Amino acid sequence: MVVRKPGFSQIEGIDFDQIFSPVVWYESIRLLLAAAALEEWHIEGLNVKSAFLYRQLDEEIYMEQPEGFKIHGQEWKVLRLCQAIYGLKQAALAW
Amino acid sequence: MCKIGFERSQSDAGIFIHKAKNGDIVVAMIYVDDSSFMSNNATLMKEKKKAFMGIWKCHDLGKLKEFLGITIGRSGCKIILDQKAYLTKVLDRFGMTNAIIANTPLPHWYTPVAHTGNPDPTLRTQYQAIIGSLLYLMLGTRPDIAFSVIKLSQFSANPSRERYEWAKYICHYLAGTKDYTMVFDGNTNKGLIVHSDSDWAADINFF
Repeated sequence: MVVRKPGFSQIEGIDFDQIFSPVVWYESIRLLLAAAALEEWHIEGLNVKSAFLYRQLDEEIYMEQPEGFKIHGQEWKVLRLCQAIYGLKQAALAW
Repeated sequence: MCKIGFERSQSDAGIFIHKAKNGDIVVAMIYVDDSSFMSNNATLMKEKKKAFMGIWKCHDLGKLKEFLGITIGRSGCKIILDQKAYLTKVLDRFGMTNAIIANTPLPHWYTPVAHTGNPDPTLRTQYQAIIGSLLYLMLGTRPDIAFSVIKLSQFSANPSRERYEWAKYICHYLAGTKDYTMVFDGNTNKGLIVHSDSDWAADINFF
């Protein structure tokens, strides 16, 4: 299938299955921090750079050539996506 | 996460746990692209962090100072949480920065009843915006407003102008309690204490 406006023409079951990202509950955060306070645990943070772009796609998805990056003389061609891109429904499930 | 020896928690999809044979434990909390690692063993935690960073490129934030808009302060066994930055923004958005201070989130005699008039879409949007902001604070670090916020949120499909003013009343209370923080004090050695409420907070609307 071809993504025209990314994210707006994908069909569940064909172009994507699961689109959720891991999201921790606030209850869990507080519980763990309370436990950390009791047990004097070490706590550190990490922020993943552009997390949405990590996923290798199993599904076959194409997009039109973006404006300004069209190959001259081959404007009719579409691009097949190998990795997730912002706007894809499953992009959030990089994990 | 499984590849680097973590197991997903059964009860929370955002929690991953690694248990070492000697009983050491590393817990990772993941919120989309934000993550936090905690452990009783600093070396083991560093090792797991490194493995994680081998798969995903990360900014190493070092000691955790902030997670999901919650500021995390620490002194030894004490962990102090606050959402002051967010609260300031909320009060500003609803024009309550210099509001007169209320001593309680709602007066004790106030019982909301369902609004029977036609819903006003503009008011509803405003009302839901204010309730949404209050809910976020409540869930994060302000359990003291939980009862009032939940009370008011029960009829948010059709709020009255009066109800909206009561939501702002909670902001009056927050304006006077901006500096409240949530403190987990490990020094008390009381462990985790759990409470439950079995009569739905005596709510006459839901009996």
